[in-house]
Amino acid sequence: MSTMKMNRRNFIKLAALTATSTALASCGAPATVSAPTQAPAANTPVPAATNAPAATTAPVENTPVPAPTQPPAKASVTLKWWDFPRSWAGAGSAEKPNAWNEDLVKQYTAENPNVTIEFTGVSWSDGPQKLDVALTADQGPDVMYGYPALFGKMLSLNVLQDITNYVSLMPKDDYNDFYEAGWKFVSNQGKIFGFPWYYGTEGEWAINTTIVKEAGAEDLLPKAPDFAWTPDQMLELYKKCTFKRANGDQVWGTVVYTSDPQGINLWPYWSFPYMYGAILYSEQDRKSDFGSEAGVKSFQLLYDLVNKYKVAPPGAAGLTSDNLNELWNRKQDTVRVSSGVEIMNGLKTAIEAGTIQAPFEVLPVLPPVEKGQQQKVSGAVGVMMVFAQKDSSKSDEVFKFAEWLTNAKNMEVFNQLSKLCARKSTTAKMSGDDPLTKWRIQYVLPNMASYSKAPEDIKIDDAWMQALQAMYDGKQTPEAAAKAFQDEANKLLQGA
Amino acid sequence: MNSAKFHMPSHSLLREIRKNLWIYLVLIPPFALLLIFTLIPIVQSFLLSFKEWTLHSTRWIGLANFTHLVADPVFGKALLNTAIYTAVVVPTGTAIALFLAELVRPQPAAVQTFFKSAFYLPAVVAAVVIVLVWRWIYNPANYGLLNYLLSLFHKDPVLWLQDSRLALAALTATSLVGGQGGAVVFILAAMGGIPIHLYESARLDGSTRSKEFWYITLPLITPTLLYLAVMGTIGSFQVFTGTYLLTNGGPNYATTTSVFYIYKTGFQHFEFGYASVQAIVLFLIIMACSAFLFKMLSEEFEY
Repeated sequence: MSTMKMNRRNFIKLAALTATSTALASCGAPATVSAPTQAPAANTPVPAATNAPAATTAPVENTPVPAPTQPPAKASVTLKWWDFPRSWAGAGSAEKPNAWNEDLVKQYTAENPNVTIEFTGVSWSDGPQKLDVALTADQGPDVMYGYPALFGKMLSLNVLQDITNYVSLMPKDDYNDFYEAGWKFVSNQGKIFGFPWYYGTEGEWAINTTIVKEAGAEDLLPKAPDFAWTPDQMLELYKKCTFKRANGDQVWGTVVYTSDPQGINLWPYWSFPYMYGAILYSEQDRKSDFGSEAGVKSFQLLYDLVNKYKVAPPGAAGLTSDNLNELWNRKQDTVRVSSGVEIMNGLKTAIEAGTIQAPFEVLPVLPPVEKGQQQKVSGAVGVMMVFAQKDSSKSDEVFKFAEWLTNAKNMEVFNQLSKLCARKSTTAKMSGDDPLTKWRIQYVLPNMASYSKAPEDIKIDDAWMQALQAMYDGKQTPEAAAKAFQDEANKLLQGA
Repeated sequence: MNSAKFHMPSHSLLREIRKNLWIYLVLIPPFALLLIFTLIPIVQSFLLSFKEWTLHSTRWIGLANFTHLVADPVFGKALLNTAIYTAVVVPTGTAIALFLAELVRPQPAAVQTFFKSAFYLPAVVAAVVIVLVWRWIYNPANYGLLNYLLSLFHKDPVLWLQDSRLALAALTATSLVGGQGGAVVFILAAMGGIPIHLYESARLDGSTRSKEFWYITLPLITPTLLYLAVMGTIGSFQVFTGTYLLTNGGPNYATTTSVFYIYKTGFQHFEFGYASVQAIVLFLIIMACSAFLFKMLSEEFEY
């Protein structure tokens, strides 16, 4: 076999040839992503509401019967539908968490044979990351459920389709069947970006009444009919419910955590600014005054819960939602600041699964609010998101599918989770005289505070989280942290 | 009229390629993979660093990302954390591996094999699994393993990951404890290549075990140690898993590392241009450190 003779000159020539090829290959057309196509024009027909034409009657006396014309064959369309596990829904189970979704796919494609639905089940933990990567690669879904924070993020990323024109063509009864607050939640600057689906109002707080009874503090619980209370009353309960058990377990009034991959996931703690009439920033004015008295007061209270009153565990700067869940499941956390009703409804399943041990009783209550301030419950409308469509030929089918998913019949699936969904008729049908649903409709829904939807929201929420961490880390006082957040938020909002 | 001169590859080069065509054909697939998945993305990332790129559009912004980087305190903090992490993990980890290898070296072959396998086992377990175990070990309540052990001595729980003064050290420990298996195997292999007669001669001259180690073993395995230092440095500068799963970069940026910040900038804030700038700077820093260490490697050793 001959040996290869590669002298230095030849090697350099070959290397130069390779490097030039590399540079030329990489300097191709930039990977521009085209802007999403607009919503269809207003005269797009609404497919769902039309009735089939009446059958022609028998011809009368020699009148020629016109040859029946076939409706034009609909073009085949493939839709991508992503959803989280729904083990509680329909035929769903722990082993087959998306059985309900698969049933819906079969049903819809039977009714719409020109439509193929590619369903992808994603987990709660890494689904959002998977969505981020898919969107980056322009491989995102057409329709996907967005829990409130996820919807807010997608809105700020401007990847959702404006479906205002399509919704305007819905029959009025159908449109009005949705709660008005649900439409408000999915709207931004007068445009609609999804169908309300789940009306969770996750800002309801949860009190573990088993611990309250153990502490002998039942008289400190918020009372019916509204289950409203003030920050001072909240603090009294926390103090009474902070104790050490005989086995050495420390029980806390509440748990504060501020370590999360994304600041928006700390939305439950926005209840604290709401208590004093503060908000993170105003969408209308595009300005934050969080450094004012109300904002500082909320940060001071959050700080004092851990450091002064010691009713929350130390290390809030580094605690995560996993730490919170561990303490809650071990009955070492008395009050959670979100998802009161969902937690209560999920107790039976959690006890059967062994996640928590009976007895474990939960009372959903309103977030505390200072006298004279408006009650606000962090908004939670789960949304059937419609992603921006580059291919306008399939837009109609995408909208039609999303609308079908949120019709009154399909929303009855919530009977297995919570009686409250985004439609009034379905809620009324499912809840009947359920006192909990009545309470939510009367006291919670009217006070729902939507998430902010500014494009800078992701970074503003991160800045709020960092301000809290700096405060709990001892690097800033509550006042300085509130002011630092205000400055950062204004810098982002004003594009400085 | 002057015509542009274009030189075709010389006949000798083409002849060489034709003569050894099969070699080049075999090299094409791995080279193509290197080109597509490494070289081209590096060049594209470099070009992206001059652009503002979101999910919807790109636009050329010149050096704006670079000026932003210079003024970004979080990036500086991330670099500092990464540098501290690397400065601790690389020498300490190498020293631990050396110590373990020196303990294992004199053992019989079967015992050596057992210990090599035992030390290397963590390397075949997914990093995510190991980090999740550490999450339980560091749990701040008294049922976290470390805090439980402290409670046996009536000590209060320690906030291993929740205290900004301890979090980086705790993160560093996850790499040092049980993470030296590969280095132990490398060092043992290098020790195995040292001629026995050197040790025999030294013993005849009355040398002790420690003198043998300092004057025979250590100098002769230095090239291996320096190789481990280079690879360890490159790896440590890219630390991510522990930060992502244990601390989210907190508390208060105490464990934010360079790669974590790049990930956050790109995949959570969707600022891909700015993330590319950070990646370029990190790339240059790693190259500089590697070049420096390689220069030290260039010394030759003779028996």
